[in-house]
Amino acid sequence: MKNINITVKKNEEKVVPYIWINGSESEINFDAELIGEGANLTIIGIFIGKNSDSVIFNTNVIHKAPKTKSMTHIRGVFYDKSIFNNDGMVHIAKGAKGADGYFASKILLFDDAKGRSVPSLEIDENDLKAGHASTVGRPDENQLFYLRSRGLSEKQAEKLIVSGFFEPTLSMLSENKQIEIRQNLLKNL
Amino acid sequence: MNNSFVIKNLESSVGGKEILKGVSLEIMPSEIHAVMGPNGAGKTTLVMSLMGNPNYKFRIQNSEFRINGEDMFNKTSEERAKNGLFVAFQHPIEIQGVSVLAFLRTSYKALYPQEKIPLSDFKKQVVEALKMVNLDEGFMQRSINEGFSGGEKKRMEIAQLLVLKPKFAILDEIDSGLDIDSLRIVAKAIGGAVKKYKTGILLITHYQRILYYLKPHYVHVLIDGKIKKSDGLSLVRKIEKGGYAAV
Repeated sequence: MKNINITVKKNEEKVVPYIWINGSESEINFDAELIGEGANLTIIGIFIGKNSDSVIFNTNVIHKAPKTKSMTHIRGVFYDKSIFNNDGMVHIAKGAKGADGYFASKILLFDDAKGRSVPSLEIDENDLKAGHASTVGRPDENQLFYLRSRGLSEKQAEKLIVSGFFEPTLSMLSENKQIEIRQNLLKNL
Repeated sequence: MNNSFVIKNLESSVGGKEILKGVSLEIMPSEIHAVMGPNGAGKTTLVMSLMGNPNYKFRIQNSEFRINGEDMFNKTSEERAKNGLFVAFQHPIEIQGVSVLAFLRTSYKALYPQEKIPLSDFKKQVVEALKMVNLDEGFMQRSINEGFSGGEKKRMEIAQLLVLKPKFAILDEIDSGLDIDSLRIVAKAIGGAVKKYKTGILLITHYQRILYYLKPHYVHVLIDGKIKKSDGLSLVRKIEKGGYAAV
């Protein structure tokens, strides 16, 4: 089990990526606290699971100060018999006026892979913004057909769709990090 | 027969309902055939089943579908594409995060594995194709069809056709959603592919207007899953005057 603790102070801005490609950790817990006014945190989780990989990924983000902002973005692609389990908590504590917490996850499943992603909100303040969006699904048949009609094999089509699937999330990272992760992805799709 | 697109007595049903009830057509290189027909005549079923969409299946007894003599029935969509078939779709699909350039490059390599074109030369071809349909070169780096207007999607389908140089192209209602200027541009680009690459065209449409620009060699009227009549451009005027009932 791996525990990652993050503290974001007044007017501080942090982007914390967690990349799990060919990973070995089976359970990862993110605990983040936004303790100073104007603290801003982006958590990015990128996952590719294969074979009998099994990953538990939990994020727990607590807004303790006013005008704090958090975004949790998770994208995962799972093949074979791999399993993904994700719980995402956003907690807006009393006094965190004007806080803005958001959780988004998109999980793409192939073969016999299984995935679960459940966001939850805990709110003890009235003046706030919070939201979540989660989808767990299979590759789009129409997209596959469109690409195959242009001569791509099913595998090539899947690969292209998956590489595009990560793009919106990658674009939130620094240029160097993007290049590093893209190379890693290419090797593992 | 070699160098031809041949379908004979095609029958196809969707969800147990018989849609195509014996359609036959023969298209030679550089020929333009138009298929017109009212809603529900089976136009989309024809297009989707020819391209091998898994949701549309042919009944293959007593039927034929050949490109340059080769049987297409038992081939996947990508194999049909490799045999020179292309569809400009009525509703082009959006794919997030995949650039038009990366997509076309992958596609071109799959269709022409023996050709080794440097990326810079390939880019030039793409830019040229985009220019032909009045799309600026920035479209090359955009995600496939994402955020495109209806007309831009249609023009991008034709740009893809120009880059991929198919032997036979089915254009499914390429004219719907296009304004008059775009229609003229698209018709000209299609005419260019016919001339330059000898692409045989099967143009599926509701409307007469594009036919006056493209001037098909043959016009076929599809009604209730069958081709009721085939003739030259004069047939279009007849339909214009008296509707499909006049055929």
